[in-house]
Amino acid sequence: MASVVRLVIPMRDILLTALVLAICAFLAGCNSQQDVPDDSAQNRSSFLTEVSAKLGIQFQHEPSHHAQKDFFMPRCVGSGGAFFDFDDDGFLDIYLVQNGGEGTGFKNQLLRQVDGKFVDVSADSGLDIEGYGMGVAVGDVNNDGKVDVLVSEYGRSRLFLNQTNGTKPSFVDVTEKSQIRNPNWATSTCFFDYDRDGWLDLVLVNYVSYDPARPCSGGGGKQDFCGPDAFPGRVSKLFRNLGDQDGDGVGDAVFEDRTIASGFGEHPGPGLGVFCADFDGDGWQDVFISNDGQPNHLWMNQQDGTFKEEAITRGLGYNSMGRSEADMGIAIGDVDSNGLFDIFVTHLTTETHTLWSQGPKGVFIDKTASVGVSSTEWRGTGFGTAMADLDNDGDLDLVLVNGRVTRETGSPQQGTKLDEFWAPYAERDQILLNNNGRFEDASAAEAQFSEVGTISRGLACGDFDNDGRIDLLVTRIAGPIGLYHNTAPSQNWLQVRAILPEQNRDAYGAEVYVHAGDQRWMRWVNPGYSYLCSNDVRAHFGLGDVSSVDHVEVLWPTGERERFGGVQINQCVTLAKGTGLPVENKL
Amino acid sequence: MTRTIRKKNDSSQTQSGGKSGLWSSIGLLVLGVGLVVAGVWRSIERVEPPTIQPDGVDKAIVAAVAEARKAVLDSPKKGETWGELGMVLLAHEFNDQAREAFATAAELSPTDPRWPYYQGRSLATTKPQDAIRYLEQTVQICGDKPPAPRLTLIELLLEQGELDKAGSQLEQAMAADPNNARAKSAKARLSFMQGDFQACHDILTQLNQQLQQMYVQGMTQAKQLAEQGNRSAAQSLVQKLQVQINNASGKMQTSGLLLSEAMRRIGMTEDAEKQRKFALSKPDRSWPDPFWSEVGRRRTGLKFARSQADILYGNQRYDEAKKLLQIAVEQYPTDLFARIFLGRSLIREGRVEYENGNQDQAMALYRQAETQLDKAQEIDPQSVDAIFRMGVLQLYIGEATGDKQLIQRAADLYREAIRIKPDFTMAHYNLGLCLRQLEDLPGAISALEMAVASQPDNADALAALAELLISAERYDEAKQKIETALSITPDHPRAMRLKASLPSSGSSE
Repeated sequence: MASVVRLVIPMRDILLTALVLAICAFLAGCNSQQDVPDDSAQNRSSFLTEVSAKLGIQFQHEPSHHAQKDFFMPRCVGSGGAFFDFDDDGFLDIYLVQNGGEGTGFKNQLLRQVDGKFVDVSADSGLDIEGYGMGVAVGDVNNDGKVDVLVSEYGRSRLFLNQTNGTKPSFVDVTEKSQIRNPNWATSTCFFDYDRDGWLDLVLVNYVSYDPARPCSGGGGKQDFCGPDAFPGRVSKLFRNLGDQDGDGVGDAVFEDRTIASGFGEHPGPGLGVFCADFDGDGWQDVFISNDGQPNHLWMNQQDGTFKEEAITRGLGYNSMGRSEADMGIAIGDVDSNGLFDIFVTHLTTETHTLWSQGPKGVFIDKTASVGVSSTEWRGTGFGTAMADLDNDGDLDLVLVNGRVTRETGSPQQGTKLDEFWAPYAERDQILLNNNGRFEDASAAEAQFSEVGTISRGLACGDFDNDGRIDLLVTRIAGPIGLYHNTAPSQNWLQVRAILPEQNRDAYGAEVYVHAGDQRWMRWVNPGYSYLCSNDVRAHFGLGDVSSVDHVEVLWPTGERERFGGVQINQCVTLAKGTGLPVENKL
Repeated sequence: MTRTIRKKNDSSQTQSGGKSGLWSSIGLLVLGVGLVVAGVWRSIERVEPPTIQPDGVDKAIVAAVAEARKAVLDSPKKGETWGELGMVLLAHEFNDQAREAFATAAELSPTDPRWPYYQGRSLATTKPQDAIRYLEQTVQICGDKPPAPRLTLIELLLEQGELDKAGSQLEQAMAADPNNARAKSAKARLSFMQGDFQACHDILTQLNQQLQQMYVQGMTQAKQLAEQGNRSAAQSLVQKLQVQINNASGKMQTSGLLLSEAMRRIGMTEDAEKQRKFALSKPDRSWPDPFWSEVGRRRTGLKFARSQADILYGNQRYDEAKKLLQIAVEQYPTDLFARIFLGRSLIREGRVEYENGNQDQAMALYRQAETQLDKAQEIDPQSVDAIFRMGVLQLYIGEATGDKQLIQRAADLYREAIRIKPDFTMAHYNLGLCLRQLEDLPGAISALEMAVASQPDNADALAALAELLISAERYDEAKQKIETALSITPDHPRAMRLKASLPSSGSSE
């Protein structure tokens, strides 16, 4: 602090004072440790170990070699990645998106898991593409039993059909034929079956109508990346899968643009995140889109091919103060165990991340302040996020990965390995552990995950070694990815893969309930959440010390509910529609 | 080692024991005390106001900070000069430095509520608990005069979930002014947060009635004055009423949307939807805050000029916008945005002259615009906006002179703009217009299809595409585009005209 009065104090006195203060501080520290046994989240041992290099991954995200010279906005928005099993061998593979632009040689990377390591199989896979890559959606669009890939980009989006036989990946670009035409800046994207015809449709979230020439500046008029308020938002697009028109039993992967006809065209917005689920329990999939600096959109399915935007009246448009904030990544989970999913959305460093609690069904209220998510050790600009039971203790924890979008005016994060241009955007990632419905910041204990400032964007969750613990994949601007192996102390767990045999694919839109005594857990089957990422499609349940489950119920996306008995814990089970005991759907 | 030698020396001096030694010691002591006193005095006088690193900072801002800093150095014991420096820094987002200045201002002028207030405001988003403490200090100093600090405190407490504290502050705010609209809005929000949706609904409904009543009463009075022949008093009353209503209707959209949420919660689902639409049609002005306005008035520099020009242009105050841009171009000759914006302004002006039949004046303005856009392209050859504007200019000049080569050039420029910005709807659209004029109908249709793909909610593009499809006798497709355009804008004139012109039945297939 500047001061009018500045006294000269002899150095000896300063040293003496410092010594006395240090002794006091030391004594105070000892006392607090002795008097208050600290079993807080911060004091537990670390369970996330960074293993990307050890497992053979060599990926450096390159937001173009021009980054030193310009503030081309897409550079600071992407990119994401995916955990998915493209060769259906039961082990998750990884897809990573680059953002260097065309002709730079920076290509997306496909990594196949072989004997616990990840092998780069990008070359000639069809997915080794260049561009201003943003996000990934994964889903079997032609019901041939193989997961296909959609890559969203600045200026276009591309669909790749999976034609892999055996272990050698083979993806074919069918964008032109598919009629998925989107020259906009697309961000997050998600497959879902909104018309319940058995074919996966597509929602493609668009951001803003960006003008690369528009200069933007931050504090003191210094040049910086633009924010979304500098440009008009775009409508997000809805593409309906036309299914098998030629009658050969396999989908044609041709889509029809239903953006205007469905109502999506009525409300443009700078969209960044997406999550599809049945929000009001009517058995039809709705769409939640988080908008950057504008009210969010909740598109409620009217069951006739149209949607109605109801975010504001259902409480999801704004935060508790009626402000629209920079809404980015989306996490979903039943935090308060009332059987209804709650929604967590990440925001800027200067805002608070928001947790909207659901209740009654289909209506939400901002509970941010009361669940502890605003009282973290540090604040960050959050992008990718997930609610997952990291320690398998039976409740959902919260992970969020951070990185600024405007330059920090103070000193850059300590220890950051980023260059001079990017270092001012670095922030540290965070983990909040759930302690009886209140989140406690456990980041300090996770040195490998949280200690060093990076510019994180995507976060994908998945159990890549099938040990029942959720591992984390973090994508970062101008840096390597982080692959965090979870070694949390052993607790009971269950993973459920819900499939639709008739469609030959995962049951996107299904709700899975696990019952054990008076306890019940629920999860949603759709890998499209977080930010620019696709996650492990399996529903993961941490069970704590629960040694057996009574039964598992699945509410299928077509509305039927089935019960599956005799499910053993500590394994991954596949439940197929039609093989369980039908039960009355009480919803 | 050093200490031992000194002791030896001291010892030898003592042993020699002379009076001269004693005097020397006294002399040294006096000298030492004198030096310390002088040092302290000099330190008291030394002033180090916060500063900024000027690298990359707008020169107008650097100058404003330097001026405010100089005032501090000239009058270092005045709280006002430190506060002024803080306000200049805060206006340009140098929050840390601003807080340094405000801290000293508060030391020197502890009864001025602005200094803790600004500290609180600048910390509200990063350190809300510290901000709350500063705002509490402010309220202790100024109470409810003006009401903004306490109300800001209440809103921050609500945001932090400190509902009891917020409620207690709210009682005091309401006691000071029971009709304060901002306080009522805060009370409604508190009720909502406490789960009392009915109370929230009632408060906001009553607030709306209060505003309506204020308007009706004021207008009735004005009407009476006008009828009595006192037109100037009537006008003055209307102006005053406008200010009163503006002050009482801050955050009208936000409050209106809260009302719609409350309505849904109490089962008024249909009314909630109507209320939502109504609220979204209302402005969301800030609440009056005389302290905060003082900071806003200190904004300067290119960023500020750009935003002002943007606002003026948006409000169709073209001449004022143009003047501001001309000054910006003079002061910041390498600023791309100012050049492009000025070019756009000149093109618009030229087009108006052309449409009024003043071709020479139009061409002169077009040439001026060309100069600005040329310079913009020199600054950044990849500037998509400069390329696009140049395309518009070539198209206009081509249309005015009948020179097809210029239209071809315009088409090339639009293609270049699309290469850089693939979702540039207007470039796709204009490319379609150019190709139509160049008699390339399939190319024009393809361009318009891309315009629609990039912005499917653009009824103009849909109608233009439909018109081209009709020219190509692809009536079914044209009909579908027209219907879509009319579903977006039901009274879209071009789409309606095209619908009427379509053959009653017919197919291109």
